[in-house]
Amino acid sequence: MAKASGPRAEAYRDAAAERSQDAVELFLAGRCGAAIWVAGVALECLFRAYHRRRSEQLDTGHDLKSLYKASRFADRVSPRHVERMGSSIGLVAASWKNRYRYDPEDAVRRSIGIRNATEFQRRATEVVNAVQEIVNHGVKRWPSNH
Amino acid sequence: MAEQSLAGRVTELIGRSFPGASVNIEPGDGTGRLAGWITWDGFRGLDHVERQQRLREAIADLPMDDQLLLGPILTMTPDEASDDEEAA
Repeated sequence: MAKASGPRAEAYRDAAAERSQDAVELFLAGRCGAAIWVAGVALECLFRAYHRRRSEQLDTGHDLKSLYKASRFADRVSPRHVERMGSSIGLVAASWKNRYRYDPEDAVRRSIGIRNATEFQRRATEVVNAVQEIVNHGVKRWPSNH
Repeated sequence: MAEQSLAGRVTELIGRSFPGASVNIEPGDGTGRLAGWITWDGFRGLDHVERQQRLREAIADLPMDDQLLLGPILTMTPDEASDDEEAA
């Protein structure tokens, strides 16, 4: 029998909630670049959690938009939340790259296309808030029949 | 003639509103709701709320029953959608 590899779905889900809170704390400490990176990791954990419920085969790498589609998280979004979730997930996917784990804050800011610190702080606020919203949505709607 | 799939009809509507857009939407595992992303240079300068409003307008002609089969569709510029694994 093939041995299961990697965390269980519930472990990914719990990690998503923890990383989401970590992102808030980094933001409050003034670490905007780190907050954005950890917020993206939280979303990656959530999508991996939903995907892992159905399969252990995943070939998306760390690409958030591909992970989103593979996760079938969309099936858990009610019609009245579709537009809002599209905006929030899109914002995070557009503001995050896995390589930011190697980048100093200034490089993250330039990569996103933001010119000054004030605007970068605003983007970090939006990303951290969006991830909290998405992760809360995903945790609340976590199917109980697994 | 075979009826066009929902994904095909949505792609066609998006192509009319967002000329030249790359559309990557499909139901997960062939079932479930349509989800994915649109990449279009014209999203540059629009925030994500405005982009979603444009998307809503683009698909407004779909019957409501079909609209209910759509999940969140991400709206990104080519730069935002670029695969960072290649750039790392």
